[in-house]
Amino acid sequence: MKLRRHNLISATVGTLIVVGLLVKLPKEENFPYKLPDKAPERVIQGVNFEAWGEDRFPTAWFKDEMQGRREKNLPSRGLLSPYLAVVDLNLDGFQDLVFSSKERIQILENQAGQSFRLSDQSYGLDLKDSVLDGVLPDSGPILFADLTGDGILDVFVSAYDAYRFGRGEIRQGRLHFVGENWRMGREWSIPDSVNVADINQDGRLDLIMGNFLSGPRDGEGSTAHWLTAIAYDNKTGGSDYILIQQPTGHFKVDTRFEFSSRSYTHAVGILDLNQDQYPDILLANDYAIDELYMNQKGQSLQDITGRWIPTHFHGFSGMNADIQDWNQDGWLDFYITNAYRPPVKNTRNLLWTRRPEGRFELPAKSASIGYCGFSWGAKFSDFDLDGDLDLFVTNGRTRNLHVENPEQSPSIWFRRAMLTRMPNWLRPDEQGQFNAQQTRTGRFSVSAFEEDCVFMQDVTETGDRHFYDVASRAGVTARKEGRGVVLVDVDNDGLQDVLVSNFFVTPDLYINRSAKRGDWIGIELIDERGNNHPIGAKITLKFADGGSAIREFYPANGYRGQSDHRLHFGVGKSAPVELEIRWPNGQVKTYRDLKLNTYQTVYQSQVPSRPPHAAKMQKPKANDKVGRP
Amino acid sequence: MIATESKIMHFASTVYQALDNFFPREGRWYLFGSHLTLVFIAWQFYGLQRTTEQIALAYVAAILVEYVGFRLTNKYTGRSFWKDRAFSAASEAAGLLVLVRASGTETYAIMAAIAVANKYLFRIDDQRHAFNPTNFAIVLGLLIFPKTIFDVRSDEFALHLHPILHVVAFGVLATWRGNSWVITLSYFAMLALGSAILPHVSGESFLFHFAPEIGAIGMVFAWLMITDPRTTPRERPWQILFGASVAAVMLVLRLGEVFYAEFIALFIVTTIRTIWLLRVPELRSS
Repeated sequence: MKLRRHNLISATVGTLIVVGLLVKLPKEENFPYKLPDKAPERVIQGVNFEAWGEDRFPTAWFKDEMQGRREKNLPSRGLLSPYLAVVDLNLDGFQDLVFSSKERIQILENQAGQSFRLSDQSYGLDLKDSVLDGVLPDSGPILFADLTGDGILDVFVSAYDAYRFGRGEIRQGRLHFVGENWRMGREWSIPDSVNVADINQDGRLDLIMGNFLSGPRDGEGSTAHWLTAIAYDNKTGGSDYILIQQPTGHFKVDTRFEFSSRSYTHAVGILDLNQDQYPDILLANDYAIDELYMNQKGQSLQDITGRWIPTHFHGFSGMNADIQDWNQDGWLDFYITNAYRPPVKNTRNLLWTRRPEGRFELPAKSASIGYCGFSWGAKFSDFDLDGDLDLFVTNGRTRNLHVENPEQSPSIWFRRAMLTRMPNWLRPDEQGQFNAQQTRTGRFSVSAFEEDCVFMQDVTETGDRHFYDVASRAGVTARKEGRGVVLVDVDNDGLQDVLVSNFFVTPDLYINRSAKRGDWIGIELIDERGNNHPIGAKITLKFADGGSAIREFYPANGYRGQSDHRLHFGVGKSAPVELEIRWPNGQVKTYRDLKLNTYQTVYQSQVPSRPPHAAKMQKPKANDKVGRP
Repeated sequence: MIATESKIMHFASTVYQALDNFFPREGRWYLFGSHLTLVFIAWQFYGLQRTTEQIALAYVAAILVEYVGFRLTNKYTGRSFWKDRAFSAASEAAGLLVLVRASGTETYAIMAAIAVANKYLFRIDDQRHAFNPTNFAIVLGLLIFPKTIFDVRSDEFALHLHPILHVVAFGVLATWRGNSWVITLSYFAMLALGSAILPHVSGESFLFHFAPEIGAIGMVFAWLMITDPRTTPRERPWQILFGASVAAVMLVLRLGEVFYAEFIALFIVTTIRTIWLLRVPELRSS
């Protein structure tokens, strides 16, 4: 009888669990991809974004391009979504938008903050007949910085072993770029990001290439690896490297700065971890752990990943590397996005928060910020000017070009998950058949139609910090597959707007119409050479109550884009009293004449010898040559 | 000629006898050997995504609960705790460390405790428990833990051939000594048969259905989980039915795009078996 009772209990428990499983484990599409909106009214109140339509933000050019791809029945895999850059090309004080997808660079000129129009000027950015024309696969990270050190912005566009450098000049009151083509012989590297810093502190900017894929000519057939890559693969991706600028102005790969892995790098973030002025490097990697490198006084890089960002938390799908001091404790933190789509992917976005002793941790109270679907680009900004940084995250993986609503597109997550469970040597052929089948059937999606996240930070009276996703209620409702995110103040009203590039569909521009909860300070830095992109400058805004807010000037941090170069501080009700700037050459200066609620220019030289626009009007020096290595 | 044959037979018999004496009969030693070494190797060489605290806590929790169960019940009367049960508990913790990815420091400890406690709480007779401990912890974990902190995946092992060979080597020994190899064989036979039939339904290939189960997770499942001698039938026909049933239920669940289908399938089959044994007590050896 005793045995029978045991058995009866076991049978009952087993049955209950089976029933529970069948109820609790519905099909994949029923799992939520982000946490429910539980924002208190005080957090959401007044937060509002307006999505500009075709009349003010033209995107027909993108549709045309996509239509061409549909007609050619090109597969939807690949990296195609434009890289973004915010730069004032016509020097009118309003930020213009640049979209780079390697095949073409499209410029939208800002019409005094009221709308954008397609530029009829090429600004020398036309890539036809350049070394990038025809290079496959799609790529095209773009970066604007004063690489030559002449005070004028230059441009750098990269693709598979092909680089387009444009020396900036001023022509008829506009920037113009005179192109040069490079080939570096790095045939195993297809970039998905590029960032800029003076790695060895020699006064010349260097380029950090974040490479996702290795090239199609790679003996290991890495493109196939990419199709089939699985987590913990840090050997078959692109080889990241640093192009060190030589005294001659040429760039050269310096083997002292080799990275220890070949990961699928999506984003390169730059920050100065130990305040020694030598920039350190964060790599957000797909399929592998993310990486953090400490610059050894400009002599080499030390991999400090395991000690500083414990690897067991990593999500294996790192996409983004935005760096800000989100909790205003005086230390820079960073936010790496990952894919979240239960039950297939339950990794999360990681808000690595610096501890004073050096190690980063993931704060439990910011848990909600971890879940935003298949996340990609993300940027911190104080959207409501309450003095605390908020966060915009875009998301979504892919769908077939012909799928225009969720009902048309059964998810193929399950089948992809099965593929990744196969042994490595069986996978490529199966993946190839799978892709071919999907292309033929023409109806599929993977984490598609996800709504972006707008995480508003709320600081309670006790000092606790929470993030709440308010996207739906704030007007951010597009359901596209996002990629890059950049910040830009389109109308110079002190509210930073958000530009999102999407995968195979038109980009979105969200104009921030939120009610202002406080004051703001906007700063354009001009260094001693008249350059308004002083890469590596560190800015500390000090308040009357003893608090402070810090920024480091690396506008290409994030993913697939370079944001507005003007530093933006929402200060809430605090009273800023002093601005301390450590300029790229190490000089530290303080400024006290701070103006609220307007953009102001801060010069490194007390009496600027070359105001920015006048400086740009000067002809570049003949010796400032950057060219073929 | 007959003398030569006799010599060969004698030699073979001697070799078999030597092997028989050398390899212990109890399958748990191979489970212990497989999982603990795999965790250690992965931790050292693959960069296992588990913290030292998670690993240590899982082992401690499993052994503690085993100790409590051992002292409070008569299930393992006559056995030594430290020479027998502690290893068994550690194996179950190691199995979870291999198969599960969880972010919480204490999650593995909780699951290991659940796995071990299951042996004492849910039994079908004095000696045998109803559910495989690791499988029980996994399905209960799927039920009680939010998807944000718990998953069944072993990404670290997927790039290497070693884990597959490692598990198969120990698995062959375990099923040979535990006389449960028929379960694995029938499981794979049904899997192959189903994978040959399903392409006509799903449009996918044979490999698409079959190959996911020959990765590291699949090998742990097929060789060391469904063959657990304490939770599976002892007689050959029932073993064949058991292995084939697990594969069949798994394939049906897969068709419905149910994740973790194999673990749920095993749990369903063991539950049905438990119910069956309740109804037909004289077949309890099945």
